[in-house]
Amino acid sequence: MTVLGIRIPAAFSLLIWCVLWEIVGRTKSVFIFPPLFGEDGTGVIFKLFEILGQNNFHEAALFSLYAFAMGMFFAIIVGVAMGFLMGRVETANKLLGMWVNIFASAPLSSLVPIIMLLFGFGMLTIVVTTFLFAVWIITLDTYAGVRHINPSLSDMGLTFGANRWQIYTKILFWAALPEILAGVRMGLIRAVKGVVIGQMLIAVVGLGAMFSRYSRSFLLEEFWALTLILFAFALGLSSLIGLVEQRVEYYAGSRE
Amino acid sequence: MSAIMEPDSAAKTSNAPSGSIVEVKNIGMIYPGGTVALEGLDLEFPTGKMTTLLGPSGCGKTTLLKIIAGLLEPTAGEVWIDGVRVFGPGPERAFVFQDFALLPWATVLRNVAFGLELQGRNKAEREEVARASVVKVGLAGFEHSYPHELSGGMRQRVGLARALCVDAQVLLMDEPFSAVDEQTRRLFQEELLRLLAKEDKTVIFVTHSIEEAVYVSDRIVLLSPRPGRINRIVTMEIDREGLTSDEIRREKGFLDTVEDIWTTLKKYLDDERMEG
Repeated sequence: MTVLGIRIPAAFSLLIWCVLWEIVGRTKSVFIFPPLFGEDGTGVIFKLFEILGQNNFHEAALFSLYAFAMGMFFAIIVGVAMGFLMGRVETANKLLGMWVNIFASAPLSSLVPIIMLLFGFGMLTIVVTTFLFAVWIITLDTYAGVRHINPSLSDMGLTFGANRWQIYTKILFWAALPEILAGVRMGLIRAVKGVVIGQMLIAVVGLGAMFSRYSRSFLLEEFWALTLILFAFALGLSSLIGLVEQRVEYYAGSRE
Repeated sequence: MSAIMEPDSAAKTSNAPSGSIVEVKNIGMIYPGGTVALEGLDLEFPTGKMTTLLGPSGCGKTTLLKIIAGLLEPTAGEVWIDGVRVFGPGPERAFVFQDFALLPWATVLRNVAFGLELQGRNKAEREEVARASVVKVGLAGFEHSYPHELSGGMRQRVGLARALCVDAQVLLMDEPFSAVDEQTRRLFQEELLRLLAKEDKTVIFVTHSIEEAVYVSDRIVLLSPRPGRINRIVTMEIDREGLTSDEIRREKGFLDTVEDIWTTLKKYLDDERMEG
């Protein structure tokens, strides 16, 4: 970003928003925005550190992180496999394509009560919800990546004696990797939503329970503090994937 | 330099060259949808010679090449390599692709060694062979570059080096120079001839450029379109000794052959225009 010809780090825009928030908070013009830095140890940022030190937060965070990791793990495996299947087998594409597209754009939150009925009020429901939030976009992106692959590449593998396993692991996977990673990154952000929404709807476990409690009791400072923590987590993870993406980007644009 | 024209029938019977490493017998190819790409095609490719498949678009030349490579299964007929009937790709054939087909995430060296990597040869061994191949095609110093850092001509050199690396007897080249500019193309043609003179390979070369075909080939198989059939076979007797490439291109025999093939091909273009 450049302003008046001066390069400004991207974090600067964040600072502007913080200042704006602070002004709104201090003047008490919109009650849902308490100040970031209040007087005498109040304010969202102060609460943020308070929450980070709490035991019940640690438990909730650990529970959520576990659900997130499990859901994401299965979403990547199933999503990539399904994307490859749809990209390589026309029948599979015809059978699955419509459903994947529907689920990718459907309001999945409305399904959580049904998932709850099936899997109970615990970890399993959260894992399944997380999985369902992430898997479709990973499938679609993998599919797009597989379709994008230059057919000459697999022909090349065949003429040089590659077996089916080698074609997949040495050529197709790498050729589709930029799209797969983009899908994983988007799936990751959706999975964070999935974890929280799942927990909120169950309302008795994890971060979702904390969210429900804060918003029900109008503990806005705590609510925003927790939101910021979650934002930071999602952003951090997503930029981590971004780093990996950069490593494959050098060839993503040059595949013909 | 002179060119001997053989009628189709003579090429099949009495003039069939002895010692042909690649033979196709009665090849037919009908694509799903009913398009007849090739019909009743018999051809032999003499060992150690460069044979070009030349013809207008729709004559099935690339289809035939891919059938020989084992990438396409013909709807009729047989492919024989070195006296053995084959049903798929094999180590005695290596393919050079029109669009290079390089792995964009791999260095030049790994791309060149990829055929050996697929064969499961160990890294040190395959890189040693690949290095020699890279030098042969004039890419020394670019071993650790990535394909997107190379020009089109250089990328095709990588494709050629990869094909040389696996030491196949038969090189199948599908319009290898069509994606590079004219200057590079001419330079490349000469280098290819120089390289092949040392390598003792049988080359089957697909092109739509008459000039290229006449310049590089020992033998030109002229295919006619819809369905692809052999129109005739031209055997080139080029005495390149002591002549520069420009002198060859100005030679009467060269120009006459180009003109003669053009007259034949033009007939098909005219036919097409009449039908259209």
